[in-house]
Amino acid sequence: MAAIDLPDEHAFDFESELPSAGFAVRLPSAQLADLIQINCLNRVRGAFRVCSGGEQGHLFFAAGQLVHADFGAAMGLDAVVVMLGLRGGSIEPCERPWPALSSIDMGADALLLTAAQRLDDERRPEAGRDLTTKVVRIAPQDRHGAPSEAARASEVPSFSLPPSEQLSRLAVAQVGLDGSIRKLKSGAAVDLADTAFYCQNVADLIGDALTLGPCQAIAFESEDQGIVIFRGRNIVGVRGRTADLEFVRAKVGLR
Amino acid sequence: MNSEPLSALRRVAGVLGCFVCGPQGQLLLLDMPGEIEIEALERTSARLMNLLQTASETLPSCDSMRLRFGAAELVATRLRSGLLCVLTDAALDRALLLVATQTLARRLAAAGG
Repeated sequence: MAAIDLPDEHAFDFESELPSAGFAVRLPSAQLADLIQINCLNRVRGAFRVCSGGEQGHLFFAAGQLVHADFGAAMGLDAVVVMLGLRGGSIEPCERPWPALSSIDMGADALLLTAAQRLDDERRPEAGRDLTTKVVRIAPQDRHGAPSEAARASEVPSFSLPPSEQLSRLAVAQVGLDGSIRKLKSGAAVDLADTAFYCQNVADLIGDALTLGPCQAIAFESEDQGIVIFRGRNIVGVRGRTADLEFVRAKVGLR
Repeated sequence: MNSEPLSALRRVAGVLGCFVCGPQGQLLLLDMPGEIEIEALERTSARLMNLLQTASETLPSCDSMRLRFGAAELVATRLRSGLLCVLTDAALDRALLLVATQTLARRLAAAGG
């Protein structure tokens, strides 16, 4: 388990933008996955209680991520998988001591995809594991209630690996906006961090010169390898095979 | 500055303009929207060459790059001697741009560029 890494300034920023406590909502048809996505998207900080069939669990959100989950004896991703598999229950905000440790260390999209994959595998134990990824999502319907063309297309099995597995094969360097190296993961070297920092800043100068504004993302490509650089709270450089980087490129708007 | 060789790129949906720069970033061909000043483009060319050179030290044989600025994207492809840069928007026909770029690169190579 990783210690929670939540810079105080982000919690402060969020709270300062919330002048009122807001509403507690109970919706009969609400989906847990939707709640997770919405809370992450809105950078909600708070705890939610999930109750179903006499059991209960909790979700803790902060800084745009689900940082901890528990349900019965399950914790972290295991708890999320259990909760996503529930057929009904209630979800409501609650007051609860903040956990000392984070049990989840991935963004909402990667978390939900990984959990959906796990849930899918658990429901079909006889099928075993293969390289086919089934992405579980709400299928948009046309006016007659039939799945739309896009939804039908998304039902075609993809042979790409799940993002979580792709991510594990990518070298990642995180550099502070001041140039200090924050993290080097999966074999990332200092030169990737230096390249990310330098290129991000030069790209911003290019954006200024062309009156396009700051650069949101950069992709360098060779025949089968690439580097993607983008700015979040830090400047991030990701290096790997072109196919593995597809997920990252999509996330930063470089399709 | 000559823009005729670049006219095929202008016919690709989503292409706002393009230019070709030499190995030191000097502008060679230009077909960009008029509101962008030449001085800004010259600085941009030099910086793009610099970016590609920097990336090549970490990613050998790096031959193209894309920079996203909101809905706009700057796509740069290495030529035999220089760089072809294309400014695009969200309506870009990426497949057609790839074909048009390859064709132009061959044409420039044949002309000694």
